[in-house]
Amino acid sequence: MSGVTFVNETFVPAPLYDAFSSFGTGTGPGWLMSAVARRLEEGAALDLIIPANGRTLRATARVMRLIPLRTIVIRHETPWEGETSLTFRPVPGGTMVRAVSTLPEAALAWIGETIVAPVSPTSTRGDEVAVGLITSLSGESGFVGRAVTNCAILAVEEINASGGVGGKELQLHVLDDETSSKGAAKAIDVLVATQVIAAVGMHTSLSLSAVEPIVHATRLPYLYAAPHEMDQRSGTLFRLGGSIHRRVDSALASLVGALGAPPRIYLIGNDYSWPRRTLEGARSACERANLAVVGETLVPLEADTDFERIVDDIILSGANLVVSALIGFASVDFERAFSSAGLRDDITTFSALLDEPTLDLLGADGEGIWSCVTYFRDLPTPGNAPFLSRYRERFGARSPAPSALSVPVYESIHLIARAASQVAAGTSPDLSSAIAEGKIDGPRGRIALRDGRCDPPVYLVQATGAGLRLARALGSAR
Amino acid sequence: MDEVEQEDVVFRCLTDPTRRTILLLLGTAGTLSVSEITEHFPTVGRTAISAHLRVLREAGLVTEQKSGRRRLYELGPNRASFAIEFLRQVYASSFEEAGTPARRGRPSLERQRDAQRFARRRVQ
Repeated sequence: MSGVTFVNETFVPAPLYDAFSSFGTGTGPGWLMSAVARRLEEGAALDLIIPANGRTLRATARVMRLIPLRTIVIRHETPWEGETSLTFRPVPGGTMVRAVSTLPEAALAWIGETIVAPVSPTSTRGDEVAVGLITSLSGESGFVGRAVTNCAILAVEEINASGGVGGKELQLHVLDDETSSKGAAKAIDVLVATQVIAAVGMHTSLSLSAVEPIVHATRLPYLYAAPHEMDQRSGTLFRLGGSIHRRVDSALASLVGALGAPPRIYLIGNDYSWPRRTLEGARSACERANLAVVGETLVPLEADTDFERIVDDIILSGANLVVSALIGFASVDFERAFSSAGLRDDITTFSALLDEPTLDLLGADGEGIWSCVTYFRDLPTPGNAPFLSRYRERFGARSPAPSALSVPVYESIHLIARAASQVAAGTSPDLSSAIAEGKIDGPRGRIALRDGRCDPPVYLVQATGAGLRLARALGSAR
Repeated sequence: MDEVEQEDVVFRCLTDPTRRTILLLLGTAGTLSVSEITEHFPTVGRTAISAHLRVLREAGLVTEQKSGRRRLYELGPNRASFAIEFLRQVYASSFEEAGTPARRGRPSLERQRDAQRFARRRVQ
C-alpha cells in the first residue's frame, strides 16, 4: 500500500475573484474543511476542522504556493501529512475549482491507527536500536506535533549519519496521544511492547500521569520534554522542558511595572495539573506582591469553549493584565477572540505557553502577547543557528518552526543516543544512570541533567510580526 | 472478487452512517457482541444491526467469532480500505461548497488587507 490521490471538481456560481478570495475565510466544512488562514500568502499557516463521523478533528496545514486567482497549493501538517492543489478556472456563469489531494501512506496509517484500530507493536531487528516518541498530532494540542516529530527525525538522522548507537542504527517510533491520557496509556504500552530502549514525551502533564506508572513499573528511561511543574526526582523519568511556572512571578513583576496603572489581574487556563499549578503560582505571586486578582476561569480540554463570553467577562472584570495557561487550540481560539474584540492595546496578555506554532496560527492576532520560554528562534546560542539551518535544509523553508516545545525533543534524543553509546562502550553501567549525568550543548545552550531534570534559562519574550522578541533573561528556573 | 470489485463493496458499505459508526465503535472497543453494538443505537433494531454486520463481514471490514452462544465482532482485514474510504469521503465533502463566500465571523486584519490587494489586482 502506498499513497492515494483524490480528485474533486466543483462548479461555483461565483466569479473567479470571489471564489478565489473566499479560500481560508472559514466558510464551512464544504470549503476545504472550514480552512482559516490569517494571511493568504505562501508560508501562511491554516487551521482546518474535519468532520469525521460524528466527531470533529482539528487539523493544520500551510500554504506552499500561491498564484493569485489561479492556484493554491497547501500542505497538511497535522494530524496527517499530504498535499492539496487547488486550481481555479473561470467558466461561463462561475468558476471551476479542481482539487487534487495526494496523501502518503503515513496518512493512511494515521487513520488506520487512530480512527480505526489501535496500533500494534512492531518488532525491532537485531541490528537496530529502537527509541520512542509520544507526542500530540491530534486533539487540543495536535498542531505542535509536526515540528516535534521533525525535531526527533532530525536528531535520529544525525545520530545515524555519525555511526548510530554502538554500531546499530537508531529507529524512531512516533505515537500520537491524541492529547488524551487514554491515548498516552495506549502509546506507552505499544512502546514497551516494541522494546524501545528509551522514550521521549512531548505532551500534556495529564498524559504524563498516564505514562508514569508504566515508566515506573518497567524502569524505561522516559525523557519528558514539555515544561513541567514537578520538583521531585522520580525514578527513570527525566524532565527536560524546564519549570516555567517558577519564573511566572518574575515575568509578572516585569509586566506589572510597565502597566502604568494599578494592576488588575485575570487568570485563565485549561483545567488539568500544569495550567492549575501555573495559575496557582501566579495567584500566590499576586498575593505576595499585593496585586488584585479580579477573575479566574478554568476551561476543560476539548470543550469547544465559547471564548467570546469569557472575553466579555474579562472586559467586565476591569482587568488590565491577563495571565493565560491555556494550551493548544484553546489558546489559539482565546487569543483570536481577545484580539477580535480589540483588546490587545488596552489589556496586557501573558501566555505561559506561547510557542512558534501557536503564533503561526494567530498571525497578527497574536502580536503583543508576552510569554516565558526556554527557547525561541532567535536565541543567540552557538548551537542554535547551525541547528536551524540543518532543520530548514531537511524539512524545507516552509516547515513548522522549531520551538520551546520541540527543541527539547531534539536534545532528548541526542542525550539518549549519547548515553546508549556510553553503555555500549562499557563506560556506564546502565542507560538510566548515563542519562542522569547527561550533558549536551544544544540549541538551548548547555543542557546538563541534575536530580532527574535540567533547568535551562528562561526568557521573557514578546510576540511581534517577526516572531518572538527577547525582552529579558529571567535566569535559570531552579 | 478482484480488487476493483472489492473496493466497490467497501465503498458501498461506508456510505451508510450506521455501518461507519459500528466500525468506529469496534475501532475503540476492540471486540463487541451484537447486543453491545445494538445498545449504541437506541433507534435501530437488533435485526437491522445484524444485517449491517453481515454487509460489513462480507466486505471484510469486520470478522465474526463465536464464543459460546455469543457472536463477537472485531475489525477485519480490510481496515486499510476503510482508511482510504474514510479519507476519500473527508476530501469529497471538503469541496462541495468550494468558493462559497464567508458567512460567519470577522476576517482577520490581514485578510482584509489581502482582499484590498486582490481587489487592486483585479482593477489593473
